[in-house]
Amino acid sequence: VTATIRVREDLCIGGGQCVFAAPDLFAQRDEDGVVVLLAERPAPEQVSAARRAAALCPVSAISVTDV
Amino acid sequence: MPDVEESLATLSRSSEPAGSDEAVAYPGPRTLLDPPPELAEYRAECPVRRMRLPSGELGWLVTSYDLGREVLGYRGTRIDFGPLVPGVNEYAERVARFVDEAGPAGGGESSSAPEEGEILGVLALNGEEHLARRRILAGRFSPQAVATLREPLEQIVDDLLDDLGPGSADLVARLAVPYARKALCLLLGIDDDERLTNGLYEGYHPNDPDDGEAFIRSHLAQQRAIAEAFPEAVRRARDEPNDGLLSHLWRLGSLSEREIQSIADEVLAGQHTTVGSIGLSIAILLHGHRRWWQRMVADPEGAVTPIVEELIRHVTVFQHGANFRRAAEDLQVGDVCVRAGEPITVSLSAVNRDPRLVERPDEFDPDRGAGPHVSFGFGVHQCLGQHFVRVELQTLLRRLATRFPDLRLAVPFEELPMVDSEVSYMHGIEALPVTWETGSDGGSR
Repeated sequence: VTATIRVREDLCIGGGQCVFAAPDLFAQRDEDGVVVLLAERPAPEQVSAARRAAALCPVSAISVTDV
Repeated sequence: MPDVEESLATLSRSSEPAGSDEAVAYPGPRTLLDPPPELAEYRAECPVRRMRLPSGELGWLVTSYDLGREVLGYRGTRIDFGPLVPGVNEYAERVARFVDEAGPAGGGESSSAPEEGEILGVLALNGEEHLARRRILAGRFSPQAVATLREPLEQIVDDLLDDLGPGSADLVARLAVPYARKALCLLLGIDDDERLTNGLYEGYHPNDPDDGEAFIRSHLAQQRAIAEAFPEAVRRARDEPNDGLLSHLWRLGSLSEREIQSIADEVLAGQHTTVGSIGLSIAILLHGHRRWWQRMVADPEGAVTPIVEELIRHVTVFQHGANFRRAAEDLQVGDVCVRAGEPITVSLSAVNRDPRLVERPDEFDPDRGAGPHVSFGFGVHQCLGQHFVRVELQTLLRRLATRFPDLRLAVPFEELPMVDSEVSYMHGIEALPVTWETGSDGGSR
């Protein structure tokens, strides 16, 4: 099973929870900490980390949907 | 922003229909390990319930994982630093009386103090203003940014451990307090200065008038010392720039001196929670769960990350966070309608002990994992410094276990002096007496 990750930059407060949970999938811009999505389609073994990132995001800026 | 009268009007409108549900008191007292026991009952019976705040105002108390996260994450609430916290009203009045006698804390001229109604830092902002301010700071507090501070933090810990001397020490006074202060000075990019110590750990016991007076005097002296030393340090970061946070904020050119000072004040205030975390974390590892201490001694690098995360969840220093939150509009929370203007408190302790968050939530178990806990809050106001605190705690515990493997509590765990939870919404201990075999701190540096 794989999935699609979407991020809402407009909501992002740069809390870094996604990087904390899944550093291979997310990064942050240096200047304002806003999320940078590194892989829209995570590898199957990365899906659970992506979901953890979505659950941790304090402003629900990350969604993970099955494809 | 509704004023007090408006809130009271809202209150009288909404208190009638909900009158069948008796208002409970603000939670407490707690024990060293566990939050007030009534929180689990509330969660099981009615996770959003009427609570009477110590100020006398009626509000709501939320105790479940689902609703707690919903409320904290909901954009329809706002932070409002009203007099909602237990003890604060009475404490503020007593402080005011002392200030009248002794003059203002700032020692007269204080160009960086906010004018009445002016909001300068980041904590008390809401909406777009808050988002913009967070983004100015976020890059400096990212996991990647704070990881670069690991080595200098290690140096700070090692220097403090070198100075402990032989055999025994109080690790709150000798380690937690100076480490928390020095770590924040490092982050801000200013020289360490003992006058910047900002902690509540002298102990305020409101029912003992003498003790209370001594506390207020020492607290005021502390605030005066900070007001004297800090603005100068903040300006020095402008005049002699370095890699720290303050010089970075000056370089942006978009913030006034008073705004930078207010942000710096909020960062420095992080000492309270860090000191509480450090003392309790060490105590818990040395007490009933010594096997985790042993695991850290055996494998400091590998063991410390899950242990710290579980400590952060289990301890939950900021017990009933979002004390200052009000509904900005009518909110449906579970089966309750919270009216605009009403105070709503999420007990972070209660959320972190909800079995829906983790299995066996009252047990300390780093192997199980800490789950998406809310020790740093949730929603837009989630703690800015959380990744820094993780590195700070990890570094301290790693060095302590490596250098003092046989560290022991010098008093029974139950006798550790807890910060008065009737007054403080922050959990902590005032002292942590420990012993070790002299000579055991061999050349492990």
